[in-house]
Amino acid sequence: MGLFDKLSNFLGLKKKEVKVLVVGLNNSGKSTIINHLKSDDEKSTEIVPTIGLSVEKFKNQKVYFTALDMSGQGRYRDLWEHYYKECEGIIFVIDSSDRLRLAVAKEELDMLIQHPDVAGRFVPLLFFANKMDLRDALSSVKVAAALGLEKLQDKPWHICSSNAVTGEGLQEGVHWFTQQVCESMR
Amino acid sequence: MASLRISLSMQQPWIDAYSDPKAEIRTFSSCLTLGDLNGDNEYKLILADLGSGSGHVKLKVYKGTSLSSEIVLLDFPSAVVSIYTDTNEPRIPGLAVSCGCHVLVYRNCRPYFKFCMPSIEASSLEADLWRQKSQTTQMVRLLQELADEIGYSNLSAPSQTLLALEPNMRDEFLNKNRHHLIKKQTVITCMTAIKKSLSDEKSVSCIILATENYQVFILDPEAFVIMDKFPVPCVASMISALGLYAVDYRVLLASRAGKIFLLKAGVTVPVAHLASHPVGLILHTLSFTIATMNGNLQSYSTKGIKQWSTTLPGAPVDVCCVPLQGLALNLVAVSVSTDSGGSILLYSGPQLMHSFNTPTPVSALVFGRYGQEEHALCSVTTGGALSVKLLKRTANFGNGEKAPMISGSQPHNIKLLVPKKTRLFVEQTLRERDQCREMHNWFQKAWLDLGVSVSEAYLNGLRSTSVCERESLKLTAQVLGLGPRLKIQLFLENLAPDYVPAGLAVTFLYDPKLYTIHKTYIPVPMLVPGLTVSLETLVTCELGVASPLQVLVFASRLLLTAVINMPPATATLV
Repeated sequence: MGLFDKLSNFLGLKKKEVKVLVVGLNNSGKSTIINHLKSDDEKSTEIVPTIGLSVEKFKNQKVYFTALDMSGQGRYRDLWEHYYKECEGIIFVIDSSDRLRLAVAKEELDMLIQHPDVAGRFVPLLFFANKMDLRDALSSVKVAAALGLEKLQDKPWHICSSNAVTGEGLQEGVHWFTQQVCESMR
Repeated sequence: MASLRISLSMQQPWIDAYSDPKAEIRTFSSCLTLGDLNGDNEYKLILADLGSGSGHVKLKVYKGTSLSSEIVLLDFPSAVVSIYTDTNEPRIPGLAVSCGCHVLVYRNCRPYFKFCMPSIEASSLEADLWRQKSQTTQMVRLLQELADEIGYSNLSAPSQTLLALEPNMRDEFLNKNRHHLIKKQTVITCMTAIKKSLSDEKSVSCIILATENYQVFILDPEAFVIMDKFPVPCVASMISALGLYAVDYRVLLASRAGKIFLLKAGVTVPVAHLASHPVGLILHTLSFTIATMNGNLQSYSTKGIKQWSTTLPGAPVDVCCVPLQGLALNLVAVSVSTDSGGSILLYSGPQLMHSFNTPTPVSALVFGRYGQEEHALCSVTTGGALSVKLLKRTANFGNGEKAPMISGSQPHNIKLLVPKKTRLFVEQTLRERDQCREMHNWFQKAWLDLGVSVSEAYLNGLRSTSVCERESLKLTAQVLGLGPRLKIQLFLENLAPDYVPAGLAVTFLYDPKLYTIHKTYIPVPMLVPGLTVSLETLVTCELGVASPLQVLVFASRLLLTAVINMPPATATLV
């Protein structure tokens, strides 16, 4: 890092760019969340199941995010681990109304945390307990308990319930995430 | 066995997503199915709960971890299938339930259509009886005679009811039903579905029904009319079908007596006759797998040739097909009931790939899409517990260790290694033909010689050894000292486990010129089995010459002899 870079970084002039990975089971609302975080003119009106992955960009508090929106379908979940190395933060989206597959989400999370590219690193984890508006949705506390998040101590994590369609709860989560990412960059 | 150990050491490939031990469901595999009932891509579990006998039979629809709706059925269902009946959007499947002689179709959990099997004319004699308006007692008597003649089960339903009623109720019943036409209704025994013309997941399917009156029907789902009707030689109790109706299809039927028939191109052919009753059957493209009541899982080719058979660790209760395209595996799940509860075994061919235990035996199993998950195994135990297991994405059922195929090779296929006739063999045969008389004489002489030598050996044995029935003694002798005075030590042991000989004594045979034995007669104390008795006596050598000495053990007769080779004495006592 050159002297100029250091100086501009210190003064906060440089454009901060962060790569985040968005994972979660299929139909949990990953693409809808990313779509809601994008600026108004880039928003798409219809969300279809992601195939493979899609790269999206959005900005929050002067930080430019590059989001790798991974597909959550069983056959594409093998792709996730190839992007663990280069990401600086992970957003894990859970469908809090899908009680049946909460165990599957926990299984995927355990595999993510134990992966060598994630295990030893400082990676902030943000959990969205999505679809909070549905009648049989679990609260964020219950989702956290079901995923066994209390055992996760070596990484900063935060869970918030959200509704990706209206955008409720998203800002709170992304705010925390931006702070964490900025801290880790300093 | 090796495979069992592999599967046990392998990590558990199933995630326990949901289990409700208090669901109180009584059902069978034929009444358990999965389907996207609301067209929202969220697959539901549909099961017919037969209840405990007191309440109504209910069709229950589970969505995720909760019961989403219940439909009361008026009769016991024989099978439930979820099929697409039209090509309308949104794609909502119909739920076909076979109940008695009806097929009830529900859509969106509401009654949609009721198909009734065509009734059959009752025998003309029976119809005449009903038309005659005779007295009740006479009517009953005539019907009874008819029942004896053609069989009770071949009577129409009103006749059967009349005969089964209490005598005082018969009058009323007869007056009420006299004007009805006498027709027989058949009962649907089993039902399955095949795709009509496209093999897509959501294409239109046809219903295949087997009935109690030896027939198989194929229904068109769009208009609910009978497209095909085949007579079959048995009452099918189980059915499995494969293929496309418009192209080519096969229907496998299992009769209650254990006979297997294959219906193909309108022709029914018997393919196998099982030694035991079938519990479940699965039709594959070229073969079919059957679990039988005698605890075997067997596979036959569609031509009826047995391919393999493997013994299950318990009594099978249910089988279900577990196709795993991602792993290129087509497993068969078998639920068995064992002494300690139940277990579910996954077989790939005859090879056991994985097994896990359940606290109670599983009575109904279904594998397929449930909720958003593609690979879900839903099971209902005999205790009424419902459980849903999801296959892990990383599940791996071991990729090698294929056991050698236990193939039932035909006896006529085994080749015997018969060597060619050598010249030696041919010459010997010729010689035998020419000189048969000499050869026979030689053989007779040699045979006599053998007899003589055997008899001689036997006589010799009788003379030299004593053979007794129960006494078995062991004698060891030891000579101590340098001479001329020696000590003979004898160790006597009783080897018989259950007999204590009494009154034994030991004496010696020797040359009195050479030796003087101090105690020539030694009485033996009681010989307890396992204990060694030590006896000893002093011997004085009279001359410097060594000679063998014989020890005799006797009771009323001689029991045991032993020869002691005495050492040469160094000097004589002066």
